[in-house]
Amino acid sequence: MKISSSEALRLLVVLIISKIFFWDITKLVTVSSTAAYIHMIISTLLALILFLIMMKFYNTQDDIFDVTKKTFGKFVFYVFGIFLSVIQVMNFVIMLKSYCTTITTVTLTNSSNFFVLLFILATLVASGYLGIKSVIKVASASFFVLIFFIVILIVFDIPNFEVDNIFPILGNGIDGFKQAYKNVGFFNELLFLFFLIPILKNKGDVKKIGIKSIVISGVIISALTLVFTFIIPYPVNTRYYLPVFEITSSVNFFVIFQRAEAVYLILWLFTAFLYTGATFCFLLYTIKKTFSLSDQKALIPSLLLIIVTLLGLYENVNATELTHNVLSYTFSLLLFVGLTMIFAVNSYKKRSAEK
Amino acid sequence: MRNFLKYKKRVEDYDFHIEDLSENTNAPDIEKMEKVDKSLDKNLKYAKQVFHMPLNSDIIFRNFDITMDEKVFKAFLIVCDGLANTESINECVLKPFMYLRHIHNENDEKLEDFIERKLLPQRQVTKSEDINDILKKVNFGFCVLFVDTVSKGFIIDLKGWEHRGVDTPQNESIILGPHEAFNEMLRTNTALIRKTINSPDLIMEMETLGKVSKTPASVAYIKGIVNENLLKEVKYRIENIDVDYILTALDLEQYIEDDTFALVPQILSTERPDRVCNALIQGKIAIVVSGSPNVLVLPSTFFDFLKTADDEYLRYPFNLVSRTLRFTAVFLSLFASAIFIAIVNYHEGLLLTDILFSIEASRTLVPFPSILELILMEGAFELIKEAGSRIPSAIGQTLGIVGGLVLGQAAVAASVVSPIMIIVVATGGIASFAIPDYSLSLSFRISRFLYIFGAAIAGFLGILAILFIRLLFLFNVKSFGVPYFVPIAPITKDSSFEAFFTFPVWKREARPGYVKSQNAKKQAKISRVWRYKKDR
Repeated sequence: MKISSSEALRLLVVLIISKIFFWDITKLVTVSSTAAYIHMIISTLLALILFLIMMKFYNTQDDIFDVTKKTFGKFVFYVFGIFLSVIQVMNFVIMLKSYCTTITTVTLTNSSNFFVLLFILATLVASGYLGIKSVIKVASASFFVLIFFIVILIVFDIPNFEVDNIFPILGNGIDGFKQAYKNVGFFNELLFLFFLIPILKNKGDVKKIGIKSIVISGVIISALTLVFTFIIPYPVNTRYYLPVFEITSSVNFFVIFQRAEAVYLILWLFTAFLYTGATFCFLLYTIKKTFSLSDQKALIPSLLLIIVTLLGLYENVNATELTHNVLSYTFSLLLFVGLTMIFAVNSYKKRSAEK
Repeated sequence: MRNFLKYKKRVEDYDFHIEDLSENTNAPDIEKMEKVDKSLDKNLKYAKQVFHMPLNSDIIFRNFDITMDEKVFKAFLIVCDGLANTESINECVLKPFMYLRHIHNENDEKLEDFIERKLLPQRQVTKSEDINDILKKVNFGFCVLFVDTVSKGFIIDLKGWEHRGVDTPQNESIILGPHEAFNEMLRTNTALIRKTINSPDLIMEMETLGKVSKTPASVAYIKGIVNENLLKEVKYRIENIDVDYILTALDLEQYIEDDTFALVPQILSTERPDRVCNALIQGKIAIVVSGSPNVLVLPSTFFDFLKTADDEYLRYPFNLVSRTLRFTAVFLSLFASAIFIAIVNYHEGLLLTDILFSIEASRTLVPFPSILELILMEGAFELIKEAGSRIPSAIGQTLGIVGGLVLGQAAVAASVVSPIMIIVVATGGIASFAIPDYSLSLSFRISRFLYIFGAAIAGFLGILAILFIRLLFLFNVKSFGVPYFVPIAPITKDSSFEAFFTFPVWKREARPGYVKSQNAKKQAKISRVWRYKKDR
């Protein structure tokens, strides 16, 4: 059964906004101080422009692997596939390390990282065996619940807003905004849209899905950045590694609940399972397409073993920072430059063939 | 005294054990016959062998003579005492043959045709050459007749066994609406459906279940509405079950459902004719099985199991509130205990400090950890539920009071459990009774323990991990090709709001999209024409 455009959109939005539960907003604030939300809006617009440029050359209904194979031949296809597999594995390892360490720090302080990893591995095994369609259905069904909770958090934080905190409006000035191009990496998960094409009902909706997912996730991240700025003044807010956690900490749900960290946990944990489950399925798909495997399920145990082993490379989350930055830029280049080139060459070859 | 002291040889203990006789069967082979023989003696001998006469005391063989045109033809009939209507046998079979001694075959018809058309005043009479098929009918209340020199047997419908009348529903009672329920008679049940639907397009196709039991069943659907592909699949599954006996609808359900090991039921089973009629109007299919007061309705989604018959009869605002309460009950039934354990053990910061102190104070004297306390109470609650379903109604109330007093009050007084734990367990337990479908509530009872286990291990992380894995599996479950959680997973054109909360009755224009009915619309866009008519 094929997936609808709205299901693909919801999955992409969930994947993109899952980063807000980490320190990405803090990075924005560090660069642009009180204008971090403007910085995010500029990054969103930039990502949108780059995506529209890419879609100008997109005129196929195949996924990225088939397009690369048809355009550049088998050798380049294998190199591309292996390269993509490697960076996906490394990115997955880093995200997993981040999730395990921060979840342990925030909620299970007496447990080890491995304890949290076991739960995530259980969800990964289930996601891998049941496939991306099941993960998409869960993401789609839980999308509005997640958005509802985010809206509730924002609404209940309104009493804590200090309007003075957003002044000066332009923050660190133009210098900060010049760095906005670095943060198009927020939308790296758009790459997975081109993995979903074979299972989309309406293959012609790829552009619409991409545009909507950039806009919706951009709005959500910008809104949360603004709320964070309203609540905690600069430069104090540059010391908080989990900004959304801080937002929820300052919520008072009337008289019944004093703090709403558990709400944050529910959002965070569920998006963590969705993110890791979906990216794991995409990783399996990458390896399957690259090596033309008939069945990807046999890869699951060995791949998980490799990933768990690679986790040992990093002692803590700080050690992953350099790799994370490199991978983020690599993905951004691959998505906005690499894919544009592939589609451009493919489009040119098609036109030449037609002539 | 002397006798008392006298040694008595002990009688050997009676010792019985079942011997395996499967290799030493000396049962005589019955000489198989396929067709009815012209010789009455052969037919009689074979029939007595098949029914193991004279062992079978309720199978009656009655020999008599038929006199026609001065010729005497021997005959015999076979009935099952208790299944056939004795009065009808006397009036419709024995009397006509015995009293009409001077019958004359004016048109020189064949004897079998003459008997069928002129001597058997019964509405349903069939002839057959297959002797085994004829003899099997005896077990279903038919009267079978063999006549000398006739190479066919007569199967006369004289069923008349004792049965319940149309009663009120035992497990699906409502306040508003009809109070009829199905019973064990196939024709009574199909009649209840037909009189409500009142359409010639309502089809009741006969099927037989089980190679030996040949249990009659009816597949009911409305022609012109039902999806033919779905109908074919249902009939294909029913007709391809290789089993000797299928006795009830619930047996059949287990043979034809998509996933045996899914915790959730995939086929709705109901004892209410109005629910079945509503389902047929929606484009679904119903299976009525003889001997079972439950009718199967398929395909069924998760939201179908959360509907009650009340939903059709309550006014919309009350319907909305009722359904909201039901979904709240689903949430509480699954998560109340698990969330309590997670909060108390891992996420204390969620609670107001005063409440936290109050909970801790109530648990001061309890020697067990909260998870053990919860499992003890949940276990006790489950035991009371199990016992309650078997206890005679006369002492059921007493049991409830004893259970409540002993397990609740006494346990708290003895500091075995804390009062807050009883409240949490009772909330979850009562919420599970608000779930309309019994099979679904059973699945929630099992799932609840999974979430409790997850909460005990890792708080919200454990609950959410198990929820995520459960959702992955549940969203893959199908009911006759229909995804179980449609229209939320996958998203379809059907409104999710309607699935959760329904629309007013005048707004329910379309049949559910997932049944892919031949006729998607069941009422006009403006069904309340009176509101918009200008001329009255």
